[in-house]
Amino acid sequence: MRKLVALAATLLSLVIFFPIFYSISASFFTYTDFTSVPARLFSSAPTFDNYQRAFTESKLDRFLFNSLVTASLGTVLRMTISVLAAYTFSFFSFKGRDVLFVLVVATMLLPSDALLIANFSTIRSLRLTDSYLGIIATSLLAPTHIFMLRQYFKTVSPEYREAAILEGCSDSRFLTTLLIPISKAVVITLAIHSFSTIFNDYLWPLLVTNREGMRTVQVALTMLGFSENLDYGPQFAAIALLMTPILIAFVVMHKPIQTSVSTRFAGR
Amino acid sequence: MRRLLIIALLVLSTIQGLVALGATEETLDQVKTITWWHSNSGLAGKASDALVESFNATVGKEKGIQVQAVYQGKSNDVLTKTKAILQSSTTSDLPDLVQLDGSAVLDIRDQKQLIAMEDLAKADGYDLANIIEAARLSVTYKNKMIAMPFNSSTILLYYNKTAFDEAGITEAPKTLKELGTTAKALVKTDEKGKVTRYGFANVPTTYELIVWLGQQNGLSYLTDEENGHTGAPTKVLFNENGTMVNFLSRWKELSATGAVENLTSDLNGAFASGRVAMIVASTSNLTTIFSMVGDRFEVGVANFPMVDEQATGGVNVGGGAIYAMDNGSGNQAAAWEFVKFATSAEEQLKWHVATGYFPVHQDTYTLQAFEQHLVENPHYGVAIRQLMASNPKMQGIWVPSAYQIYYAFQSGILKMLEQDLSAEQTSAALEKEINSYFTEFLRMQGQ
Repeated sequence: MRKLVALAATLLSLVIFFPIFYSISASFFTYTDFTSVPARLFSSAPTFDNYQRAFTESKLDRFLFNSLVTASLGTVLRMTISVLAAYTFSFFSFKGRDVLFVLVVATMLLPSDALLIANFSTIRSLRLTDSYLGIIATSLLAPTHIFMLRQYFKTVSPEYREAAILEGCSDSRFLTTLLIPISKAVVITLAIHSFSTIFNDYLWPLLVTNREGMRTVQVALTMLGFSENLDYGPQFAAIALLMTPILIAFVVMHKPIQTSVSTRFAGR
Repeated sequence: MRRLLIIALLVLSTIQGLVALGATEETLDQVKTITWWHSNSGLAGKASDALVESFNATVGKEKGIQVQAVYQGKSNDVLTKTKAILQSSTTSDLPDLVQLDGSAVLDIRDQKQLIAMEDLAKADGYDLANIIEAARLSVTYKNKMIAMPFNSSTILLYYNKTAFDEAGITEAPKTLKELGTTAKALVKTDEKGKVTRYGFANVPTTYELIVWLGQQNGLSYLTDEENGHTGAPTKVLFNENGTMVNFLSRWKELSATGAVENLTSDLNGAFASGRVAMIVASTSNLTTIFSMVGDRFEVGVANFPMVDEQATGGVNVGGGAIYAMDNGSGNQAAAWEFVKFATSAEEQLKWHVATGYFPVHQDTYTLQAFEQHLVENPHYGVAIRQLMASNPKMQGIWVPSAYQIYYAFQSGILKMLEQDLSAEQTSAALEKEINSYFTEFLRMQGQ
């Protein structure tokens, strides 16, 4: 049984690993490598040309900077809002709390595409187009994050907080020195998830920006290609570069992610 | 008092006009900025940047107009963004010009912010006959040219000439029947009997069927309202006029040769890699396919194969066009200057050479440089002669649920081949499905 699970896990990881490997390998392909028969896994003559072209044919560095800024800023704000909201929902009791919570969770049912035009009008009226805030504004409230954090916080007995308060500990201190450290795994997992969603967003940042200098990196990806073109090299180079920050985050943080997943399965 | 003010204003404005005529510095102070949203990336992106630069440095500089080109994502994203602004009631964010492809027509044509390109041209005394008729009609709605065709293309047969030579084939197939014979001669199998090279690959979708149905009997419409160019279509015609049954019967014969691969994506790649010996694809793929194949084999191009000898309609013009929008800036005349420049004979030649889209201006074809270009690149001549010999009235379809219809065609034809259904059955099923999309659309429009 154990062997079977291990085998299945290995196969699964290969399925996930292959596209990552291929995009990195393909970023070194020459023009004709993409259509050679049989298909190749490695470049016939590894070249950095694609990387060079990715930077010269679009302002990739500027776009990458914009993406990193919006994704980091968005993640910090989103996590702050989510943690505070989840804390309120799980440790305080006040009138209308449950109704409010249901309302927040209910927004999970709204597909973001349906809100696209309404959101755009709002951001426009607020004169936030072509600004970092405009790009991240719609990602700041994350009902899934609030929901998951609340579920996690609920596993912490309210008596802990009561005892802490009795000892003269403030809410902010309880939150930062106790609750967050013991929920580290969930918080980190959600933060990485936030970062990658904001970083990977394409349509919204495109919609609220007009100036080239404000564009994010996903837009650059489409700029490098041409629908009727088979010149995939620069696109793969850009993809390889884009994957790097998130890959690094996963590698560095894999321990807490693992704990958050396994503890959830263990039904804490 | 009021009258005095008006007179004073009038005097002032004439003086200003005089000064503007005399001194160039004055006009520089009032440079009009025109925004142009487009979806040109890669090769086409470079070419459109060059076009804008050239305008800004010449005509633009002279007339005090500067064009700002903004890449707004893929064609569909440009439409999404334009629609978002149109729906958000404040339309000052609209660009002066926006480049959209054929599928956008339905969403744009009835917007009150749309300024029909024909009106701008007429205000300038521009003769629309300068633009190739087929291209002009491709953006004509209810007898009015609503946009300026810009990135126009047609469909073409690409073949592996080296494979043709090996198989002793000297002429490209002209009809579907000949296509079957030729394809069969090109099939290669390995020792196990597995096909290593197919003669032809395709599963027809809207793109091919507009031509394969439309060209029959000189000209056949796929839907009523002249393929949707005179109003919203209410029903399809391909079943009752028999063009679909005729086409499907020929397609079944073609498929029965076993030389056709039912490939639905990346046909260019399959062709460039040598796995498929013939494909049909847009003329705008010319530049790319040639560079992609490199010196692996010789590429030939020929007219898009006809359904049968009676299908003499030729091919239609597809691709995109530039639409003018009213954003309250009053820059329409300036925007038109750019459109006129972008579609002028010389600029269309540069655009064509860089991208493979064909020139929409009549005079491009008589330019010395263009003739020279055809001598060096005879393949482009094939596409152009094919278009010139086509019926200009043969046009693409403007239909709601275009995406669903595209897949309805594709899956309907695949189903016919896999389950061996009759052509009549398949045609009737497609009629029923597509008509239901039209009915739904009309119902939503309250008609």
